[in-house]
Amino acid sequence: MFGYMGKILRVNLTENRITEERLEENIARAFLGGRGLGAKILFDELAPGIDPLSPENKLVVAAGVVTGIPFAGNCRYVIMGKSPLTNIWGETNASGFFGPELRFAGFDAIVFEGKAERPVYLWVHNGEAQLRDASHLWGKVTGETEELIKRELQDDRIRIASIGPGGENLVRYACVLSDFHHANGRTGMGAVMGAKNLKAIAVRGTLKIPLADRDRIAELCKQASKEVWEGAYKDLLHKYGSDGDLDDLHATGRLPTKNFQKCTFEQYENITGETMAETILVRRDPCFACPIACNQVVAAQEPYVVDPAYGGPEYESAAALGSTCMNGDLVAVAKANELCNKYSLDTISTGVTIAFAMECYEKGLLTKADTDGIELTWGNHQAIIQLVEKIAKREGIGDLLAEGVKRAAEKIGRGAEAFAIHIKGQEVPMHEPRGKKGVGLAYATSNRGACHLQAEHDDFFEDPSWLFPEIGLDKTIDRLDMGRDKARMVKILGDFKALYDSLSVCMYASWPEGGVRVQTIKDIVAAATGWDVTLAELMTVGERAFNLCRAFNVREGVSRKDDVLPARLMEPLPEGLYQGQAIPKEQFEQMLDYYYEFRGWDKETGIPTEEKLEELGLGYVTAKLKTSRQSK
Amino acid sequence: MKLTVGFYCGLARRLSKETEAEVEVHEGATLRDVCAALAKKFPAFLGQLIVPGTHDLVEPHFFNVNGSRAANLDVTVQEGDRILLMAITAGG
Ligand code: SF4
Repeated sequence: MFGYMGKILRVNLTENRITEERLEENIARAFLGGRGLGAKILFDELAPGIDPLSPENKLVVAAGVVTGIPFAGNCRYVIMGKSPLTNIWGETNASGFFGPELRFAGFDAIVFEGKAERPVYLWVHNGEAQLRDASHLWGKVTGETEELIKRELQDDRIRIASIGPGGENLVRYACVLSDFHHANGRTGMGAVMGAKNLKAIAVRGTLKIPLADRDRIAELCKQASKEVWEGAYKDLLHKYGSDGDLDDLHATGRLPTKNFQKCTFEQYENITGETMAETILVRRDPCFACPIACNQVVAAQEPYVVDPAYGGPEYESAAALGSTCMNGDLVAVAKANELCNKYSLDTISTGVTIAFAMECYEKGLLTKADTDGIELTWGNHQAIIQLVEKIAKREGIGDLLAEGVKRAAEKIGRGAEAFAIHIKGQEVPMHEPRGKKGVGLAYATSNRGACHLQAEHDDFFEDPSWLFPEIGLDKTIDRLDMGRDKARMVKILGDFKALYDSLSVCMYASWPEGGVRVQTIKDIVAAATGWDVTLAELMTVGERAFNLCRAFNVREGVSRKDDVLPARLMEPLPEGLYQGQAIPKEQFEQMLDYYYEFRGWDKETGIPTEEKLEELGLGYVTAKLKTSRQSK
Repeated sequence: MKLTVGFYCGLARRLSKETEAEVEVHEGATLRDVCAALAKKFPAFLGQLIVPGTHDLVEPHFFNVNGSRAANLDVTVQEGDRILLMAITAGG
């Protein structure tokens, strides 16, 4: 088979046993890799109802079919398992260099199962793999872990994905870091690694990806390099990173502020990408084969020492650790971001959880007696830094906040639930759905709980030049629209994003945010594999992956009742350009009806119908769903 | 006629240090004329926000007039129109 290394590594941590499996061509073609492949493995192999932090959970690390082929944005890889934050489908991807190196080391994916008796790390090198003792690494932060492994294996070019104390201490939103600052951020996959005593995965290889048509790939990569310079955002992204958007979101009144009580932030100018570039930026780092180089690297001495090795805040981190907590101190934002990367904590969930705690403090539900004496007032950046440390170590109040806002609110009670801004248990990211309503629908129906990356945002599709009739995006729609066409758009974009996550390409480098055309990516897939793929076939792969993840969640009890937004995000916006804009319940439910209709899901239950699953080649899933419902 | 343009994108606010601006344009003016007037008032717009010569808007900026996205810069405007200068913000 071309386009793939053709092998999946299976690592049984309980038995210290490593085996290899062939990646069958029919599976590769139906699921491509990344999200799709992970969904197939985990749906088939995990029993419903298991504890995500138990040895029964599995962790899949998967690259995509284009990962490692040298064109911009081809570097991503995905980590998946059942999420300890949401108890449903968990998934998180990252850019950088780890994904390509995993393939050069000989594998398309790794499946971890069981739990190691003591801390271990996996070392994969040119088709060989071994588990090595990591007792001496336990307790170390991510950067130190990487340095020690590289020294031990005497190779500086090794790529390492690891956890710090946050993952070890089972913080429910612990993430996984590679190269100190590329984060597989969301859904707590770092905690799953911690629960398995798996400290790190180290990969290094010089193997070549077998390609069906090398000459054509070379041509297409050249074409992609040309296209990437045509992307509307490449300059902004390079100069300011994704934080270049923060000022626009403030200007339009869509910047989550004060735990989503506000949508503009008086001190916004302090934390923009532009200010970062003028003050603490030291350089911009690329990912594998990507000339955009959008990773902003920062350093500072005062009021906090910020280590540039850990990169710098992108938009989500700047808003979550900044405006959401009313923190207008850029160096403090950068320090909190550095600590999250060191300890392996998701910056979004960390920021939103701290903002939740601040609101509880403001409303008297938490007092100094609960916060270990910390004055948890809005914008108190010393408090934010202290809390990040405490959460990672599960010290004092940190132990409560390490559970995420949903569980913390349940424990605090007395109405704290109203301030817990989450969907399906995951903290809401930094996009205000009342000012781009498709985002609201995508949030509510996302398979991994609140997620801003399930569908490209509404702004693009007001402009005819961004339409893409080949995949059904054939009408401009206003960002505030909540009608049938909007539901259809979100459905199509959801499948499209599931495709990108299965190919494992970076959304910043490819259409619509980046310049690389979808047609070019399709041609690269065809030239790499030798398959005669069409855009329609690729979109079906996306839809298949989306539905399989939904089926995973249905088996865990998810249904229409769970496709909701937090009450606060449905109320009229209090200020800004879209002041008064709300997501009225009735209109939202109507939009959900339309969405289910386009998805081919039952309107009452939100469960994929037998016909839809059959159409997607997932007929066997229906039987599994029925069995799990009968056994409840 | 006098028109007020609201700046609902970060770049316009940063370059002008204003959140809106009043410009004077002739009757029957188009949004391109508005761009030219803005560039005259805020020379810093030229290059970063407005293309010198053609007075096109630099991607991903656009105008919203009376609540809807303007299809292009040839759209004519009149006194009393609510004109917003905006940018498409990405979802990352
Ligand atoms: S666009 Fe940025 S994040 Fe994406 S691959 Fe390129 S450098 Fe990495």
